[in-house]
Amino acid sequence: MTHLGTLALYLASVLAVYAIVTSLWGVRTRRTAWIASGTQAAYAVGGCVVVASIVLLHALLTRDFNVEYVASYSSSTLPLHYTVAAFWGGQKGSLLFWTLIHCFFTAIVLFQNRTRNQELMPYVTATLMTIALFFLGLLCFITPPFERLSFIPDEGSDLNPLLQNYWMTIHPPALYLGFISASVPFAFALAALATGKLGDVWIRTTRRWALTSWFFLSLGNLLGGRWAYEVLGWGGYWAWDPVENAAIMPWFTATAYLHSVMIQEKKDMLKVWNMTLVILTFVLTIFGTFLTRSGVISSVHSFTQSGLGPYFLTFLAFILVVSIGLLLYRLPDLKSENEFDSLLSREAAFLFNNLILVGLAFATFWGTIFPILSEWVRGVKITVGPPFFNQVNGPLGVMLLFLTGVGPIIAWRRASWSSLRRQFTIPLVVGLALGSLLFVLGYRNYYAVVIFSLAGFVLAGILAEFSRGTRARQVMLHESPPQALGRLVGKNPRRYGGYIVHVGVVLIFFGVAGALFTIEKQITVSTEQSFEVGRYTLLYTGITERDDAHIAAQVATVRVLVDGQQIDTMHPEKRFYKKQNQPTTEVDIRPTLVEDLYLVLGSYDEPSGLATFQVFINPLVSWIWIGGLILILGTCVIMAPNPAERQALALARASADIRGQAVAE
Amino acid sequence: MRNRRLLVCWVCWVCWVCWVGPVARAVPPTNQEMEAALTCQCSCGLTVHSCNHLQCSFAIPAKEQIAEQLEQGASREAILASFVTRYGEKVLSAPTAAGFNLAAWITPFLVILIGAVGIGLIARRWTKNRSSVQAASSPTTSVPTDPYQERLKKELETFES
Repeated sequence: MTHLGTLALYLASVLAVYAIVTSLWGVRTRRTAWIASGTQAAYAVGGCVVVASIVLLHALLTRDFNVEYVASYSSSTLPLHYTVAAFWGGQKGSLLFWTLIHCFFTAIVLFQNRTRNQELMPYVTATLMTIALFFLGLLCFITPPFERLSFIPDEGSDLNPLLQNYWMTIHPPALYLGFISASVPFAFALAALATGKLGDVWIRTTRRWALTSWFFLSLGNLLGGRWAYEVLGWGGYWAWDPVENAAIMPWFTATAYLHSVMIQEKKDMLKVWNMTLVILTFVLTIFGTFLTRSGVISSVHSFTQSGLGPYFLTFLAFILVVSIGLLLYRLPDLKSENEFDSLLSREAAFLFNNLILVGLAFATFWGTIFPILSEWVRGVKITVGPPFFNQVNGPLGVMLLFLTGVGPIIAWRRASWSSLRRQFTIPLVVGLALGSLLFVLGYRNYYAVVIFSLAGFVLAGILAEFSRGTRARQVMLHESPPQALGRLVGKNPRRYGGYIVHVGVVLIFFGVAGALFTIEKQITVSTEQSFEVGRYTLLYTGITERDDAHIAAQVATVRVLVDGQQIDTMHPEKRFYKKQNQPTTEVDIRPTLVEDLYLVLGSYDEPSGLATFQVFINPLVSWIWIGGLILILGTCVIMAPNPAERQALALARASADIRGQAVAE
Repeated sequence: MRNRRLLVCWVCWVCWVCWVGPVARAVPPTNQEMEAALTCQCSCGLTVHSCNHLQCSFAIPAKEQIAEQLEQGASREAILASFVTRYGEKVLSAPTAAGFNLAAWITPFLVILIGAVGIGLIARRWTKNRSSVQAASSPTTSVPTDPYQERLKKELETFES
């Protein structure tokens, strides 16, 4: 069966080469038959990769331990859902999974554009197939997933216990979807550069793809944070680990793009900048993959050391050379009649928001690669950890939060002082009142007071926007408040969906600021002994043991009391994964909107009955996940079918056609 | 002119709020701060403070050593130096602000500063573009303003804000 998988991957590689060559040859010779053949070949590549993926899944599910990958990442006792997750749990499988999603997206793009964007599509196909070819090349020649062992082991090595968590079954796919969908806007950008069709069409065609990529990057990062929070047992969710950095960098640039593209759509400005952001986002996804797989950095997330680094670096260099080359070649055509009314305008707010977002991406990139630079320049290994990123990115994040509040309410073109007064009075009063209230209540943590004040400022601004729009509809169209609100959002889902996303982002900031008030305690206690942490009294009542073929676990029982009243019972665990011979902690979390009680069983000494616990009281963490859900809701609203947007796209296509005809004549 | 002054004041205030304020507070180091300033060497990839191995052979002695030194009144620098002497610079969780490492701290802000200046210059040029286009399209300034246009402008302003 695995021979079929190998054969499918080789065939896919050949077909990818065919698709690239025929697509480009078709453009050169102006023969649509070649272009159509290239498109069909691209679909066929997808088919082959699906076959290879089914073969690998079959090998995993049938526990074919003669396959090296199956023996390394699964075992006979591994639960079914983790066996499926083992598909992307190792280096080789995850590369195949990446290729599978890439081919799936390629097929969607080709189908969506089967009768549209005919000039761009051959280049889009060639670009997407070049990316596919790179990954197929790795799968065929460098990290073959169907490699067989010279013997059949009785048992597999099992999946890394840290990956045996339900968040792990959805976090990597979400992040991969974000990374890989960034290749679609990139392919269209290259196609636009190659054809010289630099108008609005490629931007509007890929808007949903850019949004999809941003959405999954957001989701992937949030789910990753949730996974770290539940699995790693250190009480936090983000440690500025190099691989976390690799995942957040494209998010920063994608967010910058989603804002700056509005200026291009409205004022036909920033064409070069938007093109650069699309390229940069894609390059950062490949750079992130390089970081995870090259072994140049050590991280809890990275795959084992491999020889993939040079290949990724070469591919990265190839992408940069082609992209920058095309960008420079088309630079004169990308120049637009840039007109700017005032620095006090939404355009300026977006420019500064872009500066901060790209600055955040750069600071993160710089901090991530600085240990490598230090080793090259000074020959000294150094660490760039959370304190660096918190000090550098923290203030930038605060500025970004401030601009999140300014952007939606400042006027386009030029904000007069009277309009500024009208728009900003309520948000400023709310923000300052909140800050003053916190100060009066005794909060002296500088960052927290600033973040909470800004959160109030942003939320008040957004609520005022919703309120103004709703009231206007009520007065003008005599609608009821819910009806007016619903129609307000429905008529302009992009604008109001964006506001909802901003609410989500503010809540995430709000939750993150809670970390400044974390309380923690480590304590060793005997059975029936209680201890105090914050307002809680925790009573340890004993340990029970659980044992099955896969895991041996010691489960502690801890009663949680507040003012002498029991409010809950918690069960943190210490697990021992038998196949991997590895102990892990399974934290128990009691989440509320105010704070999470986070309990870790560190150790248990059977003879003495002493148990060591680490307890964290993490304020406001739940708001991070609630903010994430609101962010998802907002993105869904933005992506809702919008007749105005379809009309704009049709208009852009029509005007591009007219321009094309005029040039031809 | 007044607007520009206000803008400069506002930018200075934001910079102070974001950077100078937090740095200006001189407080004695706490155990937690010192533990967060050191990277655990047990390969967990976290700081000594956050290390998730409760029986960690590095983090636990390191925490004890930090507590001991703080009790003896040692300064932040002295405590860090004692760890660097023993484990090398890699034990610090952030680069020192000296020599080549200074580049780690300065470069991001320098890049942002250059970007901000660049945006300012570009915006100025684009504003001039607009002024020259407007000047070219309105040959005389003495022409009385169309009341309808004036009203449209006002309404547009209200609508767009």
